[in-house]
Amino acid sequence: MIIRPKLQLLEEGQIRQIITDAYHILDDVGVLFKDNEECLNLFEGAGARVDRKTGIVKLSSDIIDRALQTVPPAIPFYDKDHQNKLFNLGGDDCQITGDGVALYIQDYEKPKVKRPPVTQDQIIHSRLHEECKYIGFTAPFLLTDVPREIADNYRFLLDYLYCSHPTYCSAWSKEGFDTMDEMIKIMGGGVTDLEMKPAHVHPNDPSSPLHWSPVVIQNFMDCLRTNLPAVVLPIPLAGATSPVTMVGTTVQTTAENLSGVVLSQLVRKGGFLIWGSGATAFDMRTGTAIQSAIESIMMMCLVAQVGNYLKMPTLGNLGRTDSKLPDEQGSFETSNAYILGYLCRVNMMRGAGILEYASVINHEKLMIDNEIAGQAQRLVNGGIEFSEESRAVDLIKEMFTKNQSYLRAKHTLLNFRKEFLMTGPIIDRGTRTAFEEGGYKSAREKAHDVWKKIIAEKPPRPIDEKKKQALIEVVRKRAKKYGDDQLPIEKM
Amino acid sequence: MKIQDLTKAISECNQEETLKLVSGYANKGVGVNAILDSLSQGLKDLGEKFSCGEAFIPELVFAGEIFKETVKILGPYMPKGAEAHIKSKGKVVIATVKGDLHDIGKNLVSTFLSLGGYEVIDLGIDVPNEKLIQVIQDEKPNVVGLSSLLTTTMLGQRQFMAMLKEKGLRDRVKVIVGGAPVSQAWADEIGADAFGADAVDAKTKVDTILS
Repeated sequence: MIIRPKLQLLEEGQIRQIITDAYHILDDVGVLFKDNEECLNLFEGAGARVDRKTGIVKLSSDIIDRALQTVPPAIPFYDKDHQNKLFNLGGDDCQITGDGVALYIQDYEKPKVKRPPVTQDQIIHSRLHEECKYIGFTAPFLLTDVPREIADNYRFLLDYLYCSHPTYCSAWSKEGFDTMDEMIKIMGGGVTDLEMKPAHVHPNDPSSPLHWSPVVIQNFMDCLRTNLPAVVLPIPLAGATSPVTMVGTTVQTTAENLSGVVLSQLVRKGGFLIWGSGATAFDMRTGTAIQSAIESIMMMCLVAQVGNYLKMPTLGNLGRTDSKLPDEQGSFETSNAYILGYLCRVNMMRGAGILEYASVINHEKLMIDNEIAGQAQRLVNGGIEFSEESRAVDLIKEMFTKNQSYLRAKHTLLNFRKEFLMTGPIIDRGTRTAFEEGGYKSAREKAHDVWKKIIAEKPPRPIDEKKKQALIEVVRKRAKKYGDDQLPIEKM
Repeated sequence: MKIQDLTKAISECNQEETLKLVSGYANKGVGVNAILDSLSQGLKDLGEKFSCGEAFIPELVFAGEIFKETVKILGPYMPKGAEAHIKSKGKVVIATVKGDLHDIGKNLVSTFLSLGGYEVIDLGIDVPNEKLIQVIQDEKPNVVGLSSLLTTTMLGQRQFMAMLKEKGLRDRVKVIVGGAPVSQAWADEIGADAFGADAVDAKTKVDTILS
């Protein structure tokens, strides 16, 4: 039997209280769904009280209960070609995710500068993701060498070409969403059961407190229609756009998520949905949204535990750092988040490879985060085997009687790999001599060496040329509308 | 002649398969030297994996144990003088000093040296310097490896070096020292030829001082 350590931040009764409070908020004051008649019609048809003038929707408990009954408790995820199943998201299974909200990238050689990312940066980052065995999802970022209007589809294209892991990626307009849907169909090779083999996640951010904007409503409903797993991801700033108390923010975020649950199941019964939170502490000194404060981590774990209680896959923006460099602060903040996130069963933890309030991509940080993720996975996924074999009573007696080293025991040979995570190459467990001979390198320096070696030695993933050309054609068609006849990838 | 499946079996620490194949080949009349070549190649492959971080200490130790068992199986098939075929890079006498009962580190060094092609005479733990001197005179090793885990017993290494000189044996044997409290500075101070920081380092240093 494998014991998988778990941390429950609140008692079950307290979680039920939070849910009850959220139900009352949805019934008493409701949620604002702005300027989308279609969604208001759906709510009205389900018996919700809808104010057509304001867009406010009030939900009674029976409507919410009905929706909760049909949400899948887990989502199977496949590689980007929609062929091989990789993992289930939900329950006790957790995955680390890249982060694509950055507007800049920081180069190793110029740590004082952050610059706008371009095509080559995404290619490198996606290729590195391909080699990160502890990071489940990629998340391509905003590129500045194409028109802004098509950057959502262009990053999606590059990430597909260079990494097979499932993607966390949003479209920024109705047109962008429809193009993304077309691209997903090409990636899946036109298989008829594509719907059942998800390889992408689309975030949808209600605006705290208790608002849904027209674009987000539209994208959210489109996700459900195409059976693209959708995340409800409110990002409240505790003390500014939600109560300053952690539990108060959890109550509000629960209400926001529940409103998404109802809409999702009205669009598609059984549609894939992820219960999310990007709750952050609002820094009362600087006015910044602190991504990696222990309170931010705690709030995201709290919200996830409410989602887990309701038997839904969950997500939190965990692993981000507020540090400006991939340094000591960056590593311990990410480590805090991953360890707590795993223990609290936040199924998707989004924040690998990013610095400075999630605004700066950094390749070294991605490499370091991959190794931190390995440790966190060992803690929970590997767990503690408790069995007659692992207790090893007979072996202890035998080794004592024979006066033998355990290194010579078959028990050691058979079990050491599953008991001990073999870390590295960035984590240093070597001798002083090896450290000196290796050039006294810090984790950051080694991370740089590691990714440079990957890019120099590992070939890009094999890709079907027909699919590649079809995808480029789709994105180029959109680019032409905005004055670009050729994509940067075609000029390389 | 290379017997690929045997090489693979020992490099994967597959004890049952290795022993079965060795018995089978020996019964069929395959030459002992060919069998030993294949086994040696397997150990070499495993050593290379270890250097790349793909194989680990328990696998090296276990493969060494399997190899010892294969030598027992091959004993009756060995023609006179065949032992010499197992070419040795040199002879190493290894021991933990008098008063010290720790042997994990010393055993690892012993294993790494054996896998590295050295003939190793392991005298065990709590070994008096007098016994070491006697073995040096009898066995004429190229290297003596002396381990000490305690600051209280590391002085035994200094005393050994003094005794070696006193007996007129210093020029006949190289000395490598190791153990938790031991350092390069200590090795220099007592006049040893090398310091092994760990098992891998010790094997490398032995290669160096004999080159």
